[in-house]
Formats: sequence, structure tokens, C-alpha cells
Amino acid sequence: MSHRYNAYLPCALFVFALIGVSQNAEAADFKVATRDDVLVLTSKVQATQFLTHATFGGTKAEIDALALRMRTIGTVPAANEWIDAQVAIPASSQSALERKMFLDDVPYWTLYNRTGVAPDYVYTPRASTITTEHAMSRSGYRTRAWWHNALAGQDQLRLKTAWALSQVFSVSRIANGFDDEEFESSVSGGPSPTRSRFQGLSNYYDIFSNNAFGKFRDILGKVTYHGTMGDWLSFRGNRRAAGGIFPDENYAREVMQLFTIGLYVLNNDGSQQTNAAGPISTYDADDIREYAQVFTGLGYGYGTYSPSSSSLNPYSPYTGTVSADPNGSTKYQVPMRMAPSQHDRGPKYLLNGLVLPSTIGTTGSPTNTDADSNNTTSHTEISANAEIDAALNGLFNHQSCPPFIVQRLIQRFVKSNPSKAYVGRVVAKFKNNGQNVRGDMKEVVRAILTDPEAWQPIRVQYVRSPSPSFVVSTMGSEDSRLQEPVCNFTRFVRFFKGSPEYQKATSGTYPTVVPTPAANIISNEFRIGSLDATFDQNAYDAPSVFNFYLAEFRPTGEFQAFPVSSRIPTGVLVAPEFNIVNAITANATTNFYRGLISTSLRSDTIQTIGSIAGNTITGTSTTNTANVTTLATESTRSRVTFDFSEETTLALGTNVGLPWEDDVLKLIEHLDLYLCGGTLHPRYKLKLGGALIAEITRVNASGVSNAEALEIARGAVLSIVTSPSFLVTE
Amino acid sequence: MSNSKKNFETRRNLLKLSTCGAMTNATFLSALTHLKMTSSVMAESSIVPTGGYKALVCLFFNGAIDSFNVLTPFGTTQGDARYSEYAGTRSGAALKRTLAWDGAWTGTDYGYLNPIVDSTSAGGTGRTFGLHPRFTYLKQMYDAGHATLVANCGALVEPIVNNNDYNNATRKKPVGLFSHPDQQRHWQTAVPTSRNQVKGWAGKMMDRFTDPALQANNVYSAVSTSGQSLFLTGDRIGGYTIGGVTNSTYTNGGATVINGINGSTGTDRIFTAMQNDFASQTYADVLEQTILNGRIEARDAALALSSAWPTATLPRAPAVQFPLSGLGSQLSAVAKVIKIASSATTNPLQQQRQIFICTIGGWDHHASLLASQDTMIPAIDTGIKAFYDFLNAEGLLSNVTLFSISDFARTLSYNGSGSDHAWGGNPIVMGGAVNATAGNNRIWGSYPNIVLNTSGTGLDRGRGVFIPQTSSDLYHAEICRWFGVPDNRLSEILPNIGNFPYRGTGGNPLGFLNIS
Repeated sequence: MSHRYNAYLPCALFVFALIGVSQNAEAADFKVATRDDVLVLTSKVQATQFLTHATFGGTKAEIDALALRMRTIGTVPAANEWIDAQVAIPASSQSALERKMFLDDVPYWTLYNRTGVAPDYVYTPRASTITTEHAMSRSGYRTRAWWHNALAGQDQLRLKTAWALSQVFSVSRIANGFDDEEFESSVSGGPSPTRSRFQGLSNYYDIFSNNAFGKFRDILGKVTYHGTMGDWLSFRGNRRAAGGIFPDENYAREVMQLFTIGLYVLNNDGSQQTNAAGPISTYDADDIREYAQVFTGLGYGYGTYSPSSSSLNPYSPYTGTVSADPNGSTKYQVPMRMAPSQHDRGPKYLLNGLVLPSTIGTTGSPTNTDADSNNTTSHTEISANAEIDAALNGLFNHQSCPPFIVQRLIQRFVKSNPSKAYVGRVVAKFKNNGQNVRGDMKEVVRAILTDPEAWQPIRVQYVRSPSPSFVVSTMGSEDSRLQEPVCNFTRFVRFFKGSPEYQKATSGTYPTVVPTPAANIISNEFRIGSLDATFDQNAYDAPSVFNFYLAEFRPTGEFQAFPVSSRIPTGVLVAPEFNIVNAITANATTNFYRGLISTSLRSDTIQTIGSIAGNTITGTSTTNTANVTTLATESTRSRVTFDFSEETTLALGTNVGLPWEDDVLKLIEHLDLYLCGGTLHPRYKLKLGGALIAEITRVNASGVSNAEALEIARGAVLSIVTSPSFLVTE
Repeated sequence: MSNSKKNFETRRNLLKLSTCGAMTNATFLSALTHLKMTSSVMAESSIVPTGGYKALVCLFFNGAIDSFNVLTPFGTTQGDARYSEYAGTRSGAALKRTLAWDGAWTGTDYGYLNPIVDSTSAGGTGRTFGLHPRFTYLKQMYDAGHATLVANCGALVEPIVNNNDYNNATRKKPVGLFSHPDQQRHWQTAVPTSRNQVKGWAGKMMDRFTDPALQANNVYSAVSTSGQSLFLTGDRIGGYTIGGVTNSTYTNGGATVINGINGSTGTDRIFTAMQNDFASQTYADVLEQTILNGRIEARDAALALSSAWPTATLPRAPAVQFPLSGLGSQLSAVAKVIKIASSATTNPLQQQRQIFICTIGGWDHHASLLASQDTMIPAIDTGIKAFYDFLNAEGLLSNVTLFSISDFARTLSYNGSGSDHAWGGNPIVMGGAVNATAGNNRIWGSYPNIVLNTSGTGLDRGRGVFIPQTSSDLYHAEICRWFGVPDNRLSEILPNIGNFPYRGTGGNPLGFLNIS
């Protein structure tokens, strides 16, 4: 079979073995019998590694299928084939699933029985006097939709890319009333444009799902014109300077600092350009004020458009009655629109010498107090939007944009510290996809995932003596990444075949009869709530526009002393995800996995509902019951159970007598291969073997039962997912 | 790679090793002092704390609080800090003065300013100032001589006296002015010239106060109630995170303890064996080693706190009820740790010196400034007041100093809804060490006239971005000196302190604390 060995072993492997100057290699070995075993193991390591980068975690079936394809046509061709297939899958929509989940729940909302009015998607009946939030809070649906898509969506590459982009263009539910409910028209307050907010975030997120393989410039434009961003960075309703009031500078700063070019002028390889004074800054405070003038005049895009309105409505350039809102939150479903009379009229001095003249054609000077700015000639909608387009084009075409964005995306997919060469290769694709298109995200993502450096962190070798073995080693510090807690969780759920079950029931009697949800299974969706309290990370829960962690974050300790090679663009090692590691998240995460593995992920809630003086109220607080005249109960059960049957079978294999070492090794190697890409640290592997054998020895007096085997399997799984080799990916 | 064959050969032998040895609590505790001593840190000579227990509590207003609405002018006459200038400049961002006299005020009504005086009897200017309408308790603490503010204070590399001086190309300036992450870093590191600074000044200071020979337990010397903290990061000190707690839910001293260690199920026995082996593992990959170190420290420190907490001889909850708010629960947790650590009863948390950081975010009020401050400041005011009451009740008021930091202040001019990024601001200090007595109170630093003077001799960089006239280094130096850092050691912690001449009497950096 040697011909097959030579013909099919992916040639890239040998390249890596040759170029890899290993500073930090740590190796673990797998027992092999034949060279075919080597081929299979090699392909599985690479399929696991690739799917860890490109998806929310490979299932065993997906890893095995891709590994087979890699053995058949070669590693990189199989990866490209997989990418092509993924690109063709339609996008999983966050907002559509959010809405579906909501509508599925509606029949179980006793809340609506009060009025006899068919519930719709627009207004939640709620008394203006209620202080506790509605337990059926609509804001929770977006989080459940996100988890379901990540865990069950077929368009994994698109979902992972959207997740990466959402961490560049970071928004969050924590501000701007994005969680607010809408009010029923008959309830005090009525439908209010300030309150119909809750679907803004999922609609915004869909920009990234829908354009994950589109053009970066389109994403930048859609983000800039989205009402969610307009609110989040407070430039919606921003006006030209007048009467001692100046344009808000928030978006002007962050669109440069975080969304396009960053703080420093960069070379194509991600290194900073310097002069005698050090790194060259891309912009200063004066530049921000010029860009702030550009982002003036935008308001929500719904209602009756009145471009000639001389005063900008706080919410919109539109006037008149708010039109029907069949899909929830119209203002976030259409782009913001320009009120040209409120767009700055003066000249604007932008980066790289770009000057936008005033409305009367003058260029004045770069100050905020130009006489030209106070002229009486208003912009038109077209000319005002053209200024925004010109400013965004300038940032998109800035030399720092490709390396800045590429470095951030590589950090989300592959590694924390891409080399100059890696950045340079992907930047070249960003600048030109081969067909003179700049910012083609499909080719940027492909370049990131298929670059030699994406495979380099894990090396594989076949060792013949003293006995045939397959050795997996890692390249170490510069090539690895602390995995995001959210992605560790998705890897876990997807590999252990997380099985969701969602039930709901209602009852008219409270509190004596608690309804049993079992009779009302309404979906097999992952209705998982926010895990932010455990992870300090969850979709829509970023603490600020600076995302969950700073891209430049460097933990303390040994990390600081690490001698960085000249391959790293900035000369220092970073590890953003350590920004959210602390004594609470570390222990809470360990406890969380122990709970998942020992039992399941479950969230059972019982919600009481009653009414006071004709207004429906909700809330579990019993302090309200004194004045409550009618009451009902809703119960909800959301569970995810996991399948450890394969691991249990491997553990049961030990039941046939001493010695058990080989069987124990099979269990560990199975978990190591699929969850750690074969990189489990040698000592950890040995110690875990010892621990499993000790447990088997302890219970084996009458043979290992099924229950005992399950305990052993769970112990092994828990030990793996709390190991540094699982938490840090290669 | 070189060790792979050896591993293969020895694997089966190692598999036979027993891994069932359970780590006891005593083992955990003895391991604590070694947790952070992984880098070469012994070069710095230690500072021996004297004079009993002292603690610092840093209150971080994340996102840049508009502190020219925390401390406003109130005067009506030439020479005073004039409210009319403030109201005119701030436009719709201005707070209302009094019912009787609103001057140029045009804003939305969010109550009246709380007047305070910079007393001539205390060596002040006699000018009058306003505290935000919701800082009613802060006014009481100020009037009692237990709180103060430092005016127009910000990060500098060297003094910059006006715009002409700023425009002098040789004048060194902080990097990334008016950018959130940069200026947060400046306040926390006191190294405003670098973006690569990874140690906070508090961490560097605590490295010097926590010689293991002097103090048994380093983990609790620097505690964050708000996650990972650059401010607390030093060589030996990393900043330990505890959760905020309310009065009723306080368990394990705020620590999150790992469950299942020494548990009775097969899963837990295997899990325990692996946990017990963590300290013996070493990883060549520095990310893996760092995550491992963090897991060990988190596990052991939580156990230490939870095991110290129920000791019958130790005081448990403070007598004071803290408000149910973000800051209330954080300060409640701090109070409880302080109460144990300062106790005369020997316990694992006992300390001579401690520093804490609490963080309250959401101050980036580009929009809805007045309404947001109106909503958010009461939780700050009542939180600080509860902490003040706790310190008073425990007789610790002079042992603990609370001080605030924030990214920067905000533009004095209005953007139609809020204010944008600026520079110098007005931090708050509270504690028995404040250099004032009832009726003899001071506002420190140099409070500027609230006019937009962008001329060469003015301080305004445009839109009301004021060049700080008091360096944050002087502010921090005063705090460090009170904490016990000798004058000749300050530059190790605040490297640019030598650029700023001291202004306080008796050789103190500013004078707002009683430095004994």
C-alpha cells in the first residue's frame, strides 16, 4: 500500500514538517497498526482543525466526511470544495427565526386571552404601571434564535463569518432601549417610535449573515445606514453645526478606529508605518470633527418623507402618521434616510487629501467655523448621501483598511497572532480577488481558512520505531488561540449531539395547579438563553462597541516574557480572549460544563399572570398578588440533552477483563482527536488514563455496569473540556 | 518533538500511577502565595507597610462621565466660578442652578445643583460650586469634610499650560487622546506614552507592598469586582475577581467555587484527579500555560475565600445595608472583604494593604446626557454613601480612601443631545483621610472658567476640550503617598511624576489627603 501512502497523503503535510522551525513543539502520539491508520488519523486531525476554524464545531459525521474527502482529493482541495458548498447554502436569518419562535409561542400566551384580540407581532399588551419585565420578553427571542442557528444551522461557514463580522461592527442590547417592548395602542403610551426597538439587533445582525460572502464596502454602507447603528453610536438625528451645537463625533471616531482603518497607518503585512516620532497615526481629533460633519442629517427611514423640513425630527426626516408596522420594527427594517437640510453645508477635509466642497462650491479651510458652512444653500438628498459614500469609499480604499480588517478576521477564525506573511497573503486577496474586486469577503474568508499558516499550528508525523505511532505536535504560542467561550460551548453541543426539546403549557389556575409542559412539545429548537453571566460572552451582550475583548489585549505572567519572533507584525504577542477570563468566569465555566455533562442544559420557568383593574400584568413577584383578580400560569421547559453513548461504549469495553489500558486509550484518543485535533498534552493524556483506570479499578469488583461506564465517560469528557488543550485551539 | 518517543515508552508505566490523592484545603492555601510568582519579580525592593490597615477603592466610571456636570460653577459674580458662563457654554447640556436664579439656563429640568464652597478658611478661593442634583449624599460628605473633588485633572506626560504650549511640537502629549481604550489605559497605567503598557500603577504598587515574607497571602491584596483589570495587574499581582453581592445573597464571600472536587460520583472522582494534577502540569505554549495558571488561581483563591468566610470568630456581614444597584453590590462585596482582611483575628485573607477596583459603565453620553445622568447618578451617590456609613460603623473611615477615575471628561459644548470626548475632568475622593473638616472644605486643582477660549493663551482645544491643569500623576501620587509609598519610590510606580512640581503644603503632591 505504499503507493497509496505516497499518492494520497496530502502533500502539504510534508511542507509543514520541513518549514516548521518548532520553538514550542509538544507532541502526543496515537497508536497505529498500519499506514492506512496514519492516513485516516492525519485527515481527521486536519478536518477537525479546519472545522474548528470554519464552523461552530464539527460533528463527528461532518469531521469524518470531510476527512474522507481530504484523503480522496487532498486536504486543500477538499477544504475548497467544502467552502464552495457552504457558500451555496442560503443564509440562516436571525430576524426571521426570532419572529418564528415568537409566533410559535403566541398560542400559549394566556396573556392574550384577556382582550380576545388575536395577538399580533407588533404590540405587546402591557400595563404602563408594571415595573417587572415581561417573562416572555421579546428581547430573549433573538438570543435563542442565535443559539439555534449556531448549533443547528447548515450554513456554518456563513454563520461563523457573520459572528466574526459582528465582533468587528460590535453593537449590543445593553443600551438605547434595544430590549424595549412595544406598547399596545390601547395602553397608556400607545405605539411609540421610541419603543418599537426590540427587533433592531437581529435585523442588524442579518447584514452580516446576508453579506458574509459579499463585499466589505456593502457591509460598511449597510452598517452606516442602519438605524440600530444610528442609535448605538448616536449619530441618528445628528445635525449640522448651528447655534453653538456641534455634530456628534461618536460614529466619526469609531468608524475609523474600529470598523475600517484603526489607529495606525499599516503596511500590507499588518506592521505599523513609522517615522522619527514612532508609529504614524491614521487620524487626529481634527479629522474626527471633519468626519462628524459628514455623518449629519440621517434619521429613521419610515413615515411620510419631508426632505424640505427645516427642523430635523428627533427620530426621522419623516413626518406624519407612523405607517402600519406589519413586521415589528419598521424603523430598523429600512435604512436611515437623509434630511438634507440638516446635513452640514461646509467643506470637509477628509483623510488622504480628500476634500468635499461646500454646497456653494467653495473649499474654505479645515475648520468648523467656515463662513462657507453657514451658507443658505441646502444639500439635496443625493448630494448629502454622496458625501457619506465618498467618506466611506475613502476609508474603504485607505491602505490601512485591508490589513486592519484582515488581522481582526484571522483572530476570529484561526489564530491570535498571524504572521506578516499570512496577513500579507490575505490582504492581497482583500485588495484584489483576482478579478479586480476589492473587499470580496468570500475570497478573503477562503484565503484565511486555506492559507498554509492556518494548518501549520498542528503537525503530524509517523514514527516507525520503537513501535509504529502517529505523533501530533503543536507549533506553540505564536500559532494558537484561546478559543472563545461561546465557540467552545457550540463545539461541545454539536459534537455530543445536543438534542433540544422545547415545551410550553398554560393553565388557568394559580398557584395550586402547575401545568405540565410535556403534553405540548412545540419545537425542537435550541431555545437557549444568554450565557453571558457564565462566559462574559454571548451574542448581543457585548459590553461596548469595543466588543467582548480588545484585539490588542495581552494577559500578564509568562505571556509577557515570551520572546516573539520577527514574523509577528507588531512585535508583541496578543491574546484577546484572555480579556474575559477571570476568577469568576473560569470557575463558573467549569461548573457549567460539569452541570451539562452530569445532567443536561435545562431551563424550566413558571410564569404567573394576572390582571389588575383591567390591565394585564406578569411577573413572578408575589407582591403583586394582593390586587390581582384573575390569574393564570404559563410554564416553559427548555432542555438540551447530550449523547455520550459512543464514549460510554468505549468505556464499557473495559468490562472484559484486565488489562484495560488499550480500551482506556481508545476513549481518550477518540475525545482527543475530535475535540482537540489530537493536541491533548501528553501528560494530561497520561494522567487522564490513570484517573480512568483508577475509577475502573474502584468499581470493577462486580464488573463495570452501564451506569458506571457512563460515569467514566462523563468524567473523561469533563476532563477534556476543562483541559488547556481544548480551551486553546490550534 | 524530542520527547515524543520517551512519552510513548513511558506511557503505560504512567498509566499505572495513582491519581487519587485529594488536595486538602490546607494544601490549596499554602499554594496561594506562589501563584503569581512566575515571572522575575523579586528585583523590586519591597515597601514595608506601617501604621495599620489601609485600603484604596478605585471607582472607575467606564465610558467617560461628563464630570463638568458633576462639579459645576455656581457663582454669580466676577471672580467666582460663574454659573452663567457654564449655562451659556453648555447650552442644552447645562443643569439648573436654583429656582430663584437660572441665569442663562435653557435646558431641561433635572433638579437643582447642590451648592458647595471652596472655603477660604481652609485655604481655598471662596468660590462656590455646584454638585450634580443627584449627588445629595456627596454634598453631605463634602460638607462633613470627608469628600472632595480635584478639578480639571487628566493624563499628561508633562505640563501643558495653554494652547500655545500644546502647539509646541516638542511638548510631549499622551497617545490616543480622546479615545476610550487609550485614555482608560492612561488613567490605569500612568504611562500615557505607550499602547503596549500591560501593568497598572496599582499592580506595580502592590507588587512592592506584597513581599511574601511580609504578607502571607497576595491574592486578596488586589481585588476587582468587575473582571479583568489592567489597573491591578503587576508582576506578582494580577488582580483577583470576585462578584458583586447583595446583602441577602452573600455566600462564599463572593467567590465562585468549583463544584464537584472530592465529589462522590465517578465523574467527580475523575474530575478531581485531573484538577489535582493541574499544578504539576507545564505547557510550552504560553497561552495554555496562562489559561492553566488562571484556572488554578481561580480555583484555589475561591476556596480560600469561602473557607475563610464562615469562621465563627470573624465578623460576617457589615451592619450597613447596601443599595441593590451595580455599585451597591460591588461596594458591598468590597466592604465584606475589607471587614475580614482588616480584622484583628488571624485569617487567610488578613492584609496590611489592599486595593480594589469597582467599575460602573454606561457613561458615554453622546446622547441623552441629562436624562441618563439623572437616572444613573443616584446609584453612585447612594452606593458611596452606604460605603461611607459602613466605614464609619466599622471605625475604618480613616483607613480607607475611595477615589474615582474616568477615561476623560466630555466636551463642554452640546451636540444636540449629549457631549463628546474631551480631556481634563473632575474626579471624586471620599474618606476620613480627606484634608478637610466640617465647614472648612476645599476643591483641589484649578477649576477653569467654563468659556470656550481657543486662543493661544486659552485651554480649550475646541468645543470645550480642556487641557488638564492638574496631572493625573499628581492625583495618583497623593493617593500613593497616603497609602505608604515613600516619596523617593513614587517614580517606580508613576514614571512621569518627576515632570510635575508638587503643589501641596508640607511637600505633598496636591494636598487633598492627610498624609501622615
